[in-house]
Amino acid sequence: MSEIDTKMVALDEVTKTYSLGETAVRALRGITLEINRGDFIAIVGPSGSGKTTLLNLIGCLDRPTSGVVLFEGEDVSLLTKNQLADIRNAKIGFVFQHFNLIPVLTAFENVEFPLFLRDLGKNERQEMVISALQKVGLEDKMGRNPFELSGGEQQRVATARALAGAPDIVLADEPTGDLDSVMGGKVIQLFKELNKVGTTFVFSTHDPLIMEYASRIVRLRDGKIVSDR
Amino acid sequence: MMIIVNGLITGMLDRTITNSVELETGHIKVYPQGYHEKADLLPTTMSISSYTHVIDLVQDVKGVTTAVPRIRAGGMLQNKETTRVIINGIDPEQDSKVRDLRKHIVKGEYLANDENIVIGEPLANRLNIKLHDEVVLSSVAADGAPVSNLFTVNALFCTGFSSYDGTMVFLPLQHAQKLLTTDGVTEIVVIVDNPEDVKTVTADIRETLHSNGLPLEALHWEQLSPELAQFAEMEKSMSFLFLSIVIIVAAIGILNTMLMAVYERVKEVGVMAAFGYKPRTILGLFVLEGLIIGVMGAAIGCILGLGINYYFSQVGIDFAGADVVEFMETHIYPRLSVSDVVYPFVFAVLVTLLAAVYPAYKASQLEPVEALRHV
Repeated sequence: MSEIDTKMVALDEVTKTYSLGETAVRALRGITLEINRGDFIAIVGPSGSGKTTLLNLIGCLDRPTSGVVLFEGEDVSLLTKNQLADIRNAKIGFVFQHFNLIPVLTAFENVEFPLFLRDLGKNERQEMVISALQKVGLEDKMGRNPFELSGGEQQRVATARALAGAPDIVLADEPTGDLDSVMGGKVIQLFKELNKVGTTFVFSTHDPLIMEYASRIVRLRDGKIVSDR
Repeated sequence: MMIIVNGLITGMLDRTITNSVELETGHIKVYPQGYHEKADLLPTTMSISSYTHVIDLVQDVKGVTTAVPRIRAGGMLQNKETTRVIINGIDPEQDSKVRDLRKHIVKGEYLANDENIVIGEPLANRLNIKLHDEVVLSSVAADGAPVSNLFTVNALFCTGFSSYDGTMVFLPLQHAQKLLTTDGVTEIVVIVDNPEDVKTVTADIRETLHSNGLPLEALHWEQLSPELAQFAEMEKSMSFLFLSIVIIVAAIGILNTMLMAVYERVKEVGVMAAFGYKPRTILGLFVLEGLIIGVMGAAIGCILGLGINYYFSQVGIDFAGADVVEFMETHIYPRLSVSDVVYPFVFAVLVTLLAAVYPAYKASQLEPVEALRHV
């Protein structure tokens, strides 16, 4: 494989500053990072160290204040909203820290709605949804609304939603935060299996047990990378 | 609310105008030239002598349903007491095509062509007149001489309009002519096929009269009863003002509800955007949702409004003491035209749609991460 093929995302001296009222919050202060296809990366660090902001930039949900984010060689800052939306739909799966399930939709529909944008038949789409829910062990609760599910079950629906479209890269913000150690272990095992067949994973975590599964750990502190190994 | 108010106003105006047309003005009246200016004085010196010829001419005008002769004069009705009345000489059969007095008769028989009269029940009560009593009717003849005659009260009527019931006296045309020593009539009352065309038909009648060299004038109901036309205009202005207030309040209510509903879902917009939904697609979904909510809400509102309107159209609403203009009934039965329902429906759908589109547009323009951070 050439260098272009293996490099999925590259960040060069990336900064991100938010304004909170009159205060400027410097969430990232010069991040340089390369994510290769097949990586299984844990981003760790204390709260407020910039983990979520970094995941948002990798996932084309946000644009950097300065520096360059290249997604498969394309400068994210130069792409239009629609181009970024196409990339997110086709290539990226997200597991959000607070699940962000749509309350009026069932578990099945929550997993299904990103697939409506794909050129898929109804049967094919439904098979993909059922397969994703089976992978997270929720095939018997697919007709329930989020409020009828426990926090752990909601997290698993969110995981199924991220995986259903077979994305090239999955970005997960504290994917095991609301799960017990057994279920957390199962989810990471699932990630690991998918990683073996080529899906790239980048996830943030505080859990030392989960970190053990990572092939690479990036440590953040105050918006900077303090170690990457 | 808009439908109910529209129904009430339309019902009230329709009935008032219909009553006025039926009982008093007709759609059009043909007068001797100059009579209208003096109509309050009920002059018998001005009359249409060749009225059957005029009626034939008028009935040939396109849009005219019927034309009937009447003679009106001021007079006195005398029993043991005396009171001022308005004498109406009518052709009993012909006149019932315009003003069906029969349906207002509460005692006795309608006019036959003999020396009988019909008076209002309140007038009879006031003068202590019983059915079949003999009364003296006096007036001033066409030549200015005082005249009087004895008549039998054949029937009592009651329209419910106190000034009308208290002053109108009806008798057969030929006896009125005999009393007033005239061969003519003071007016010809015209009913048209379509009340919307009344102004055109009036102009056509005027043209016919003029081309035949007749010194007569034709006036439509708005000219004959300007206070009623003004009342209708005033009611329309008042209802417009009231409806404007209702519209503003309703619009603020709908806007507020939709704005809240969409702002609560900004995070959902963020999730949709995160999974690849484009701003245009997100906006389209919210527009569709706003349209569905708008149509459903407007349909429910219309059904409720129509239901309430139907209920009151059956039982009526009592506005006793609010009869500010003659021939306005105190018991109003709301009525609706198609536009009274269509406009509020379209308005409600449009406001809901606008209220949904604005916040959805704003949300769809946010970076996904900003929408996701929305609380």
